[in-house]
Amino acid sequence: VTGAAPHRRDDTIAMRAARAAFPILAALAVILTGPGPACAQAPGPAPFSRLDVALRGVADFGESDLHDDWTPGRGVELATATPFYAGDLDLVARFIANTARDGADVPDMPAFSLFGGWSFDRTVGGGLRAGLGGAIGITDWIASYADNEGASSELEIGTEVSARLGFVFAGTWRADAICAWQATFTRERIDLVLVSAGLTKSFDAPGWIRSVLE
Amino acid sequence: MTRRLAIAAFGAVLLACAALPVHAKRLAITRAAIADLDVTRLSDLLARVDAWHAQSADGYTWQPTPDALSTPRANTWTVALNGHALDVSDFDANHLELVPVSLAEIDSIVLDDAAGTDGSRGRIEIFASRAAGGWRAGGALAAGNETGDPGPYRYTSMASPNVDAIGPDVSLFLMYGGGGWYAGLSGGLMQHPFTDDAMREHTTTELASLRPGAVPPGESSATSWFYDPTWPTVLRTSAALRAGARAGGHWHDAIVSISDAKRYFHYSEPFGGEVPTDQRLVLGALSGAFGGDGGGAGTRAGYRAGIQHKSLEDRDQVLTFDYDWAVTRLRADADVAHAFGGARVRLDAGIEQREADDPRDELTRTDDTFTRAALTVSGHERAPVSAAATLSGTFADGERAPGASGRVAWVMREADTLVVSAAYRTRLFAEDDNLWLWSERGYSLLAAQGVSYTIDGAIDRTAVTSADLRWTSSGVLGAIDLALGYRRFDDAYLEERDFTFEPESCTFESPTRVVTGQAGNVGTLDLKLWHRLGDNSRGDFSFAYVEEFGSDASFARAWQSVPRHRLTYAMTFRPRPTWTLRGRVAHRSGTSWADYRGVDGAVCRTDGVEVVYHANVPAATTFDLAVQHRFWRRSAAVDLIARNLFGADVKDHPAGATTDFTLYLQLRIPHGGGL
Repeated sequence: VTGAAPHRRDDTIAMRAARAAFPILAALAVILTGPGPACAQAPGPAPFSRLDVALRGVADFGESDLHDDWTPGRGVELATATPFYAGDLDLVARFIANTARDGADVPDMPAFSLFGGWSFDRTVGGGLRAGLGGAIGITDWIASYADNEGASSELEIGTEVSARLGFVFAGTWRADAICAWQATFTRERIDLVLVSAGLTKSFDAPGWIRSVLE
Repeated sequence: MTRRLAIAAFGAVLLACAALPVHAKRLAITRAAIADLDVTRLSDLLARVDAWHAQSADGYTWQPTPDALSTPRANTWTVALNGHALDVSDFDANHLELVPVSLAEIDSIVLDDAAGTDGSRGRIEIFASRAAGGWRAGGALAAGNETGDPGPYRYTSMASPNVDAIGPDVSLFLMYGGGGWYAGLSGGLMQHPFTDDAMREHTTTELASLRPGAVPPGESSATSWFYDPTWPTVLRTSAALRAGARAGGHWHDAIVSISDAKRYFHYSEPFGGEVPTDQRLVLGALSGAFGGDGGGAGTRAGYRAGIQHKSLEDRDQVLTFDYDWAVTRLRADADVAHAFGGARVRLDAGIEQREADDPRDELTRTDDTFTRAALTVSGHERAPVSAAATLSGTFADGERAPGASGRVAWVMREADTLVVSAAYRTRLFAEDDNLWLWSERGYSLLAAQGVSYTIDGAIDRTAVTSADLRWTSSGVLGAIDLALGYRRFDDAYLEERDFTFEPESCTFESPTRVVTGQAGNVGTLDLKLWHRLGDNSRGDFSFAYVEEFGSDASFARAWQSVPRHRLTYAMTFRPRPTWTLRGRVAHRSGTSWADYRGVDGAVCRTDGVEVVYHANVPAATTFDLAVQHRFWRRSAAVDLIARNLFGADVKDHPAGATTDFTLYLQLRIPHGGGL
């Protein structure tokens, strides 16, 4: 079943640039994190010894049927990560506002996501770190009508892969730029290209969190 | 002459060896093994056991059998909880979720294809835990979501129906164990919607068909705050009170339980579609033992007694389907075992009274009494060569169903064992307790619903003759388990239909022909290999092959619906003691369903999607991945389970649900801890 696309938007230069950036970032991350002399780096931190808490702004630069009826979303994500036996365990909570396009007979569909995954990164020089990650999670699309009549939600499963660059400064702070491709497994798959940027703060993990995670 | 030779040879085998209550396909699944199967429900577990085959039309109830060997109706399985046979089978489905304890309470499950003294084809024995000492609380919370929903496209021209979700399922238990006693209370709640495209039209039609004057379910349900009665969804609840005390060197246990399935839409082939029922099973039972431990010299006696009431009805009185029906069973049985020298003798005896309650008073006969007995003699159980034999019989109303089995085990060396077993089992038609038995006795359910059928002759005792050979060997790097089996069915009865398609309701229609006196032969091969992959990982390979040959036409026709090949490979990696990663690939060959040839290519159009029904179910290969983490000193665990990662088109039945990529999340605190 296919639907008409009366509201197809024109791609902006920013959207095209963001989509092009993903494979470039991914290739860069693979090259930078691949095997080589840098493998001789010092061992990583002990598992669950640290908590990274991040707040990032996020924008959707994807192109799919979804964007025929809803404008590409902007939003915010709160993320946390902790060292695992190899790499890091990640948990990301994300909100993206998807507003109905003018003339589209659909409600606004703000989406809340919760993704858990694994990532690894390495120092590539100075304070610069590059990495790759993968995650799986759920997205709850909430139909939001102006009069709140008929509101309901659709909970769906998705996966994402990401490439990331970070710059560590002031010891425990890091500025991150992440490009992620997210697929939501609805009957007609939804593909999003999410670009996020923000700050991450590292803490020593409290003992009770370590004992639970271990 | 050939038959006499066969009987003589069989008798010689019986004289030379014997049957322990241990058989070629006996499989014990411990609590740890249950965790390794990455499942959230009991029925789901039986669908994932190697060398077993399970078929499901709706993804909720499964017909589990070893190598599909119980396909003929006359070879049903007994499901037992702590030794008490449970009446979880209704006319067309084994409703395993009516077992009134949750996976979190289960200590072990034993799958045994040996004939029980109740005349069944075999037993699925479930053992619930006892509290060891002090307070213990736990339970499980699980939910799954199958991909393929419309998501936000629900509000666009690309709208499509929602597909199945699994759960949420919740179970809780609270137990206290004193020195020589325990008591505990447990409960569970489970939901499963029947909204797959292939069955959506049937189920929604059934749901919408209210009786004249009935109150719509959305306005009448007291459970609507957590259950949406406007959806075709089963709501299964259960509660159990268990207690026990240790006396005379053994435990004496009591259980009182109730399990209820509200609005279960089960696919029934005689009806050509889903049939909605409310089901309730109430159980009260006692069991225990006295005397020695049964292993050394001395005498040990055991007993079991119970009453259960199973009802099928429409309690809300809103559905058009009139299914009012109830069966009450009283069971009592005892066993005495005496060991002396290197030998052991065991005698089993029991009685069961079954009374059917048909509110319309149509039955020509409502009650049956079955008397059962078995004698087992075994010798040299600890010697390199041991043997055992069993003679058994079921008696009812002047009829008898005899059985005999034998087994020889040879421990060739410490890690090599060869087991040869043979059995002959019969089962009375009255024990089958199915739709055809009660139709013969006047129950007019089929006629009242406009379902036509014929039975082409008298249904007699179905006999199964079996022979099995099993070799197991293990070493430092791995182990092998090879089993060869043969089954001969005599006087089996099977159903045949030639379905046509009703596009308006998307249902199937055909009179049913019950074909009697069928004979058939089936050969099986099961191979399992285990191998280590370093200190923290291992691989499990399993291959099962089943082949029908030289059978009567109807038998051969039915067997085309059983997959010939099933293959799985599971790899477990434990990077840390509390973390486990598991990958599993499974392949099943395709099947052919003769009953559905007339509807091959039929299209059901509903809610913006098209469903095409086929008579052949294609082969399927699936990939699963699971991550398990144990915490709180390993007394709790969280499981993230991804099934059918690549979204293969998997179904078991031409009219059944198709499963896509599904993600499960489960939190569990099982009884006894020690994950």
